[in-house]
Amino acid sequence: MSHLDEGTLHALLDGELEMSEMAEIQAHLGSCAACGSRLREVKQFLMEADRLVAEVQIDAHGRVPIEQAPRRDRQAAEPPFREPPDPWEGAPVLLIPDNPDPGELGRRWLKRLAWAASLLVIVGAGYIGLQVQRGGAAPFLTDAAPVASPPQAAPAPASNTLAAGLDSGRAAAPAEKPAKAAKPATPPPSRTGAVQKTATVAPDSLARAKRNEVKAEDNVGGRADKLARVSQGDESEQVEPGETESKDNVVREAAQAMAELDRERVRQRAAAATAALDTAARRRAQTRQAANQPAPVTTTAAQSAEPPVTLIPAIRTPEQRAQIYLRIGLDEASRQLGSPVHVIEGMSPIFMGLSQGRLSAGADTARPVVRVVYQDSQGRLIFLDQQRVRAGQPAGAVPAGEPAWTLGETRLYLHGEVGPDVLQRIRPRVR
Amino acid sequence: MTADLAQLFEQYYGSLVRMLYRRTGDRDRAEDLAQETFARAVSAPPDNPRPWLFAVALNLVREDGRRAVTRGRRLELLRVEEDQPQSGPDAVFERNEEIERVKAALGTLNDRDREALLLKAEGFNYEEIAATLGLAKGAIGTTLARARRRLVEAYGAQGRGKNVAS
Repeated sequence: MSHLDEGTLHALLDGELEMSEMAEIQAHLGSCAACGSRLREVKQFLMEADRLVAEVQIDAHGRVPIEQAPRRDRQAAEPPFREPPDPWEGAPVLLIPDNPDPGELGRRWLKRLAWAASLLVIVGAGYIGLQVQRGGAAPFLTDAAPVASPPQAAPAPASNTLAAGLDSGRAAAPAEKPAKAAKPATPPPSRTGAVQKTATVAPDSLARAKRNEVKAEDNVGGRADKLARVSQGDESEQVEPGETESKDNVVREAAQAMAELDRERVRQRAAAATAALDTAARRRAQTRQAANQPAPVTTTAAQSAEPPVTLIPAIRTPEQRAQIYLRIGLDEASRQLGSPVHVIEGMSPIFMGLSQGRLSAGADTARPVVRVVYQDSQGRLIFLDQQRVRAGQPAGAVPAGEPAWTLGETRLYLHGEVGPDVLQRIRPRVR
Repeated sequence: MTADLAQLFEQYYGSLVRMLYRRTGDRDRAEDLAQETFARAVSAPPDNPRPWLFAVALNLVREDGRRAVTRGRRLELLRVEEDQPQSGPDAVFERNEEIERVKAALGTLNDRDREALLLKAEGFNYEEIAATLGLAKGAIGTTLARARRRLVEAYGAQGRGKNVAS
């Protein structure tokens, strides 16, 4: 088959080719890098030309839309009245080949090499780390080994060789790593549960515990710094034989300090969790009491000292209020509808997206609707739902006061958080 | 008949005015031509309304071509002044400049290419474009390819010219 001409490529992108032609062209594109490249070029021309034509806009009343936003933001802020329909609508799936040029092939090869090198480094580091942890042969790391594996370090799971290697490898160099290595790998399950409960029930208690932790860290910070200095000295300087013993002492002292810090943290978390549980128990008791005695209850001194519990309602974003599951742009909306998106004249949509058909009364529930969302001056949302009408599709029932009508091949539904009177006033402004 | 025409008007008036505005660059003229087109539809109700309406509208454009273009340019100048108070002067200037560049680029195309492009922008498929313009369906891909390429190149050439001038 000879190379594809430009007209055929445009017809292909416009979805105007017959199935039989499509198969042949697809086969050709799969084998011809030149045509694949031209197809990409043609696609660029097509998209740019459509964008340029869409720049010249006018509304249904013959007025040129007034520019409200700078040009950079225009596409997001203003719905063009006209966008080309989806050229792929109804067209069979076409796999466009990505035939690389020689330069691209070279780059891909280099990328693979880089990945392989990275993997080698990681595996090597893991192996070395494992050796260090087992106390085995890692002669070139022996100087750093005392710092890398303090006595209280929790052993890594044997199955996770790579992770163990990485942990040990990391601990070999830096200053504060031994502190982390000295920490218990996981706190006891009961304590973990308590701490999680604290985080959800009493954030204030947790914050207090956090502040205490910081203080405790300050207390041991000097010792940790000392340890860091020693470990750095191990790497950068020749160690005098007489100093080895004192450095070992410093290392031991730092490890003990870290263990103390851990114990202190656990104690504080446990205390915070206990306080949170007490508070929760008191609240439950209050709730039960209120349920049993509808009359006003006199609170005890301890209860009145508790700050009142304020339930803050979750603030829902406009997207959540609009029940949109996917935000889309004008192009995609036009593709969904097969025609330009309808808008409310004189109002700027805050966004648009796809919503489930069942959320739009009267729409086909099996398909999504394009929902253009507006906000009035009081912050209430107004939805202009649009769905392409299929042949023979019956018009579904809509609630009284919510306008629904058909424009061209698009069924429109106007509803939202405003009253029917507002919707009726807006209805004639839909273009 | 009245109901049919009202439905036709509701369905196609906006699209027709938009296409005519892009074609002529003059919104008043676009409105006049669209109304004239619908007036003709009253006297001779079409079987296949969309291609018919657009074909009649494009014929009207061609008939009234040169005079209307001159008038349109004058009106556009006035219109730019009217629109300016609605937003910042820079934004309006930039926007108008952009539109003028696109219009000028569209003006470099021949009638057939430009009309095929504008009809495609109104959602016409190749068959409808062919019916509206009196062309063979097989020629539409080539026509659109040429029109798109020329439009983009003409637009780019104007940008380069502007940069050189400034």
